[in-house]
Amino acid sequence: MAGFDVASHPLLEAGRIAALVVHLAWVGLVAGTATVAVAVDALGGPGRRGLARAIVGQTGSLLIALAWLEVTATLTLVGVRVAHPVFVQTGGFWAGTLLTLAAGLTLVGLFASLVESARWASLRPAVGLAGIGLLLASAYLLCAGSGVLLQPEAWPTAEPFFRFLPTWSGTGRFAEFTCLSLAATGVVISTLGAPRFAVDDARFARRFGGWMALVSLLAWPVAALFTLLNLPAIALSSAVWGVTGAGFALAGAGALLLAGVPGGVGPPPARALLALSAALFGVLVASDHLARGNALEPATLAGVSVPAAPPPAESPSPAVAAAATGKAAEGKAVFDRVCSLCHRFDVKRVGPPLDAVVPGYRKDPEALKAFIRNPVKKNPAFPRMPKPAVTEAEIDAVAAYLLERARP
Amino acid sequence: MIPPDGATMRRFARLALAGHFAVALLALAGLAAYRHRAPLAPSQPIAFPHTVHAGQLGLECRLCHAYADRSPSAGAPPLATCMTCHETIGLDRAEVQKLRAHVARAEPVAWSRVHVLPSYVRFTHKRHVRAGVDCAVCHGDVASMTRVKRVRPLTMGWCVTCHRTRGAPTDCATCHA
Repeated sequence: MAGFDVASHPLLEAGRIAALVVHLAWVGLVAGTATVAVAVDALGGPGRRGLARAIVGQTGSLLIALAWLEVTATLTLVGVRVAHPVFVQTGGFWAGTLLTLAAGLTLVGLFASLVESARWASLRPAVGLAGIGLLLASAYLLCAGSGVLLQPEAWPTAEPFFRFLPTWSGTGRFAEFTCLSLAATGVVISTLGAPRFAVDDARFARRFGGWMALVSLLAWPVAALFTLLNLPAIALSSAVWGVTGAGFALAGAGALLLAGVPGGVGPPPARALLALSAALFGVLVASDHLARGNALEPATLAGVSVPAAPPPAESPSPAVAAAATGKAAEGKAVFDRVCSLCHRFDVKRVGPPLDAVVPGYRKDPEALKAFIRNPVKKNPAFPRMPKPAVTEAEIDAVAAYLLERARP
Repeated sequence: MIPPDGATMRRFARLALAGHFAVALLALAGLAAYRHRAPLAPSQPIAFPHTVHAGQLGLECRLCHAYADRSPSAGAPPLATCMTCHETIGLDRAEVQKLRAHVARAEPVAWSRVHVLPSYVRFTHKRHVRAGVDCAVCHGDVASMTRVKRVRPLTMGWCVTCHRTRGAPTDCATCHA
């Protein structure tokens, strides 16, 4: 749990949220633009080659390098956040996520260069699709990991297996990620400038991108509601609902901005729409982060990693039994049942530590019995001891036990 | 019938879009109400602080929940248990005074149940405590809760997950008689 405290500084927290927003937006954009480029390249015919090149140019080498840098930073930061001793998503999980991402980015990069040089026409779609698939797999691993984190009770099951467990809430997050990725991609494509390619291509890009963004924005609330339906109750709070509600309002505003585009009335307000897409990724990450904060309180985490204790022994071991015989053994039973409510031998509880008071009665055990029988206030620092409901025989036994057990 | 012109269509489309997101917001509000229908931390008639009793004083759970290891129900303590200490301790505190008023009227405290199971589930504390399951596995760190909060889903999937992990029986009749 110490790892959590160290890693929960507000600034670090804010940095992690920002890094995750950037990470998801980048990966989403790379996957989204690659999807559209593969489709345009494969289905658009030679006439649209220029457009495919322009779109995939958005996912060029600079972007890959940036994504790489930022991915490393993000995952390191996120890794600190979740570096809990019992956490399932340890080395294997992060290695899997990172390797999938790396392979996906490499294949998408290869696809981009193949489109650029117009080679391997028949293999290009396969390379592109494999890259996209790997990118999405990496995003799914990340989202599903978040889902597992929110269900600590599932950890023991995940532990002996693959250290990874798909969850419905994680799947919902992935659906949200897909919607937002396609929305951002649509916005980016619809705002590609005309000077870079043919007028006909520009009009096509604007219409296609606009529709894509609009449909994705309309679908996102459904995915978000699905996630919230499947989150564990402990992860929910008014902040989670509030952030999501604000996101719905933002998405609505974006859809209204886009509504002019399919009709072909004027260019879309590019900057506002781009900012809006980024903000929606912010909503996704913030909602997930808040849910995680709610679910991973120390009080909640307690007991998650407690192994099953061996069942309590029916009878004490021979050595202990021999030590505590006769009257003292009976007295221990009385002590455990009655006195231990307020007293320990070595520390102060409701009453004083018995090691500090009982030895004073060694010379006069009858005084101890008299006190237990009829307690009076002795030390102003403690409340008066209530009269215990014990029989004379039990008083006799417990006094014997106290005198035997108290140190010195 | 007059065909709608472009401007009318656009107005219509915008209205439909706004409607879609308005419905989504309504659904969100509805879902929030549904998911919060049973509070995780219900308010109690007396604000009994586990932080003091289980936390600062370090009293063991079973001292008050005396039946946890020998009965299906862990049991809320009888007021007499409270009075063993509060006959003399904390008499100036408002919550203790509430407790003593209950005792004076010989009227039990109607605690709000935090962990509610469906009637068709036969759960026994005894079996779990005797199998060595720590209280915190199902109840979290109660000693740090000012107001007790349910921190586990108490769903069948959750129960079965733990039963599988610990090699406990998963036969239907184990929990559903």
